[in-house]
Amino acid sequence: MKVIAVILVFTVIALIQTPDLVRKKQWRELVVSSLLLTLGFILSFLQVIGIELPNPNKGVEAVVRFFTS
Amino acid sequence: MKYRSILYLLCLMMALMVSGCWNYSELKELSISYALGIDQLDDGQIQLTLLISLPMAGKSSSQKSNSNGGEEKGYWVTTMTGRTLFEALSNGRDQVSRKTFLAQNKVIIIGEEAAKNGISPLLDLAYRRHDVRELNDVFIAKGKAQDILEAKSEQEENLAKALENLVEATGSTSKATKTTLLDVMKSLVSKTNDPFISGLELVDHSAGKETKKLVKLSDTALFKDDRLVGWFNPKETRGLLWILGEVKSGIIVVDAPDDESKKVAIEIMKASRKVKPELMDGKPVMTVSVEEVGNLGEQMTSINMATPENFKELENRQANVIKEEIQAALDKAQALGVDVFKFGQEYHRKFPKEFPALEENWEEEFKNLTVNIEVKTKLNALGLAAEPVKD
Amino acid sequence: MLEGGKITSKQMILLLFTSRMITWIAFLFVIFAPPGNQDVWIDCLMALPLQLLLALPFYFLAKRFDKQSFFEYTTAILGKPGKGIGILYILFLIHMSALSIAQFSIFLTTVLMDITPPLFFKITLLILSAFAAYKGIESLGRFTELVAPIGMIVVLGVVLALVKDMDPKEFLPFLESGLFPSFFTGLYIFSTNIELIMMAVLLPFLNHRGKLNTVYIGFPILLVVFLFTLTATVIALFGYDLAKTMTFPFYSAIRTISLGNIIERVESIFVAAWLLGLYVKMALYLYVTVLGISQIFRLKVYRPLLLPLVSLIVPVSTLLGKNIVEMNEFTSFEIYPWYALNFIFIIPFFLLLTAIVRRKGEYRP
Repeated sequence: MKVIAVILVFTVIALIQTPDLVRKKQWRELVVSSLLLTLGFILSFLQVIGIELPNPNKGVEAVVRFFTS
Repeated sequence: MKYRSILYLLCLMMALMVSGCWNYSELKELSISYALGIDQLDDGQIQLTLLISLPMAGKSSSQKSNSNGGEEKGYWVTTMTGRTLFEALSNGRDQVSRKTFLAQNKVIIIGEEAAKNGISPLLDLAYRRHDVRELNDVFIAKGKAQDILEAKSEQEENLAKALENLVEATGSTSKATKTTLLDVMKSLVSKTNDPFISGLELVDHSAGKETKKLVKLSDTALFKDDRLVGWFNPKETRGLLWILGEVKSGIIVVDAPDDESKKVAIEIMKASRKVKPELMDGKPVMTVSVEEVGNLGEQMTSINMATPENFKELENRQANVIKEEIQAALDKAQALGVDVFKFGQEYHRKFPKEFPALEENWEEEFKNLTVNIEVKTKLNALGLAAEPVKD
Repeated sequence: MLEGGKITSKQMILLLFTSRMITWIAFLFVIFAPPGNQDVWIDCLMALPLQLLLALPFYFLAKRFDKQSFFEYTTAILGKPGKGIGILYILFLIHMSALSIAQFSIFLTTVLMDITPPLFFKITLLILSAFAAYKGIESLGRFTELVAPIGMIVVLGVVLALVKDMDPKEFLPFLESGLFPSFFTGLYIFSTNIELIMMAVLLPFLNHRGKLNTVYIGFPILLVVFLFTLTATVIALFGYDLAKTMTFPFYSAIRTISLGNIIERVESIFVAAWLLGLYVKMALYLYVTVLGISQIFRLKVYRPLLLPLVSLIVPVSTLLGKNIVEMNEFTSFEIYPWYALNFIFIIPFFLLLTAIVRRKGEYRP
């Protein structure tokens, strides 16, 4: 159910965005926005199907602790 | 064009949100709690007592009590138990058919037994929950909190309202304290301050042939850390309020200058205090100076008080009474080793460098603290009667 | 031209100010920072000279490149590697936006609406903010001019309503542990001020270039005055010891407002005003991020990037906001300054050095 919702939402966003960009031949914009969208989709999808992703804060914390202590 | 349609969608979404999203709560689906009683049972379980309003009863109470003598109840007192307060609340959902709503709660009453085992675990839930106000009045019941909540107020339909009014009135008597959850938390979190909480007791009240239980504001509970260790009687409570500078009004009764058995009552009009912490050879010495202005409120003797000498004499006697009250409070607090006067805090503020050494052993330091009491009093007015009427 | 709008210096100050203040009103981090006693209010004042001093790289960079935004002059200074720096900043901004939105959904679900799923707040708020960002900097500036005074009045009203319950003695003893801890916390306060990056990006849109000094000085002063007010209110009301035990100290202060038993429970009004500010903040973050991306990749329009960016921020924020304890650990004075200082001081500092050495841009005093 959640998986379908995520796919649906991202499809809708893609459908809103793409035709306009294609019509105006703004290819660079299309590439960047699809890149963001894909990243967002991958992250959402992985979380929705229940894969534990690492918390970015933890990474930053580890680096900072390495340097300060 | 496309974006306009998105705009319409957003407007639609807003319409959905305006009606209240997930957190809606209908009045008829809530059980509004006005007072919360906390007791500890013998087996260590926590017993919660809720005073819940019954909205339907309010409607029929206008028709007075019905013929078979049954009294209409506007409020329902129900109890629930659990290992923690929160568990008790959720256990209570088995019998309370509506969602408990604590945002209207005005009063928290803690039973004596529970208070002896420490109040901070009992208050954690109230402090943590976002729907319980920090301005709830906290009381310690002599006996069980449940009994207090089951008693009824003769004047007010709502016992919590009655208690709130009682505690507001302490401003004009200065014989009992008003302690909110916030006050209690403030002194609990401090290392040197010890909390005090106003007490409640049930007294028999005979009305005609039947005796009724009546809730009465009485005494002040004293805590060591968070454990109940003793009580201040009204006189000592006044002493505490003098030191804290919270006396606003009240009556001081002194012996009449001419006749020790006759009394004169003086009304406190204005009072202020200064607390001056000092260190003498490393030993803390505290000076409490109280200034008070009063009016002659009543005299039961027949001599003329309106003479300079008598006024002077009354002022002196008044000062002595205040001194006695302060001394009584100090003696008891020092015997118990509870710093309810926030003296430790005063030392912290005045002597930040020396304080860590004092703080380590503050209880002992406080017990041996020398306190000088200075009281200055003044009498101002004497009302409409310049002289007592006598034959 | 990506953005043709212009904003006045007043709008810019208010925009940056609102964006920063919103965080501090909810999470008053200063309270938990060293020196850990009633002297934390000194830290707030300490932040002002530090901010004026440490933001100088941004100031001189802006002087050198007065027509270019931050993302443009990194490339102008460093050439190709400048794009890498730009992307680093974009990632940082996405991280910060996600962190902010995660913090605020936790704040809202804790203080007011405990059943509403956080995801709901995140999505609705970000979509609305994206709409504001879509309209461009000019309308955002005007909107802020409207909203910021409301927020300020509400905060000042709250403080005034609490004055009668305050105890100035709570500030004693003065300077119990010396000035050094306050200096560190001043640095911490400065490091939370990532709005400086926003400033560097928005400066080219200032309608009068000469007003740069006004923004540079006015923004920190306004900020410090307000931060000081918040901190002092909380301490005078609760005392430091109790304030330290609270998750949201200033919000707890608002809960205790009681004027003659008539004016009570005003926190809902406060949260409403606060949400308006939050809306501005998220709109600003989104706007600056998409503008940055477009400037790095030389795009002609930034608007199509808004929704994809939102769709990226939402999952990242659910990753960050697993629980409030982890989040508070991250934003605490032990971790956060060392992370954020890189972006708001160290990198700009080296950029400035490089610009001077390579004689990029012309300095116009």
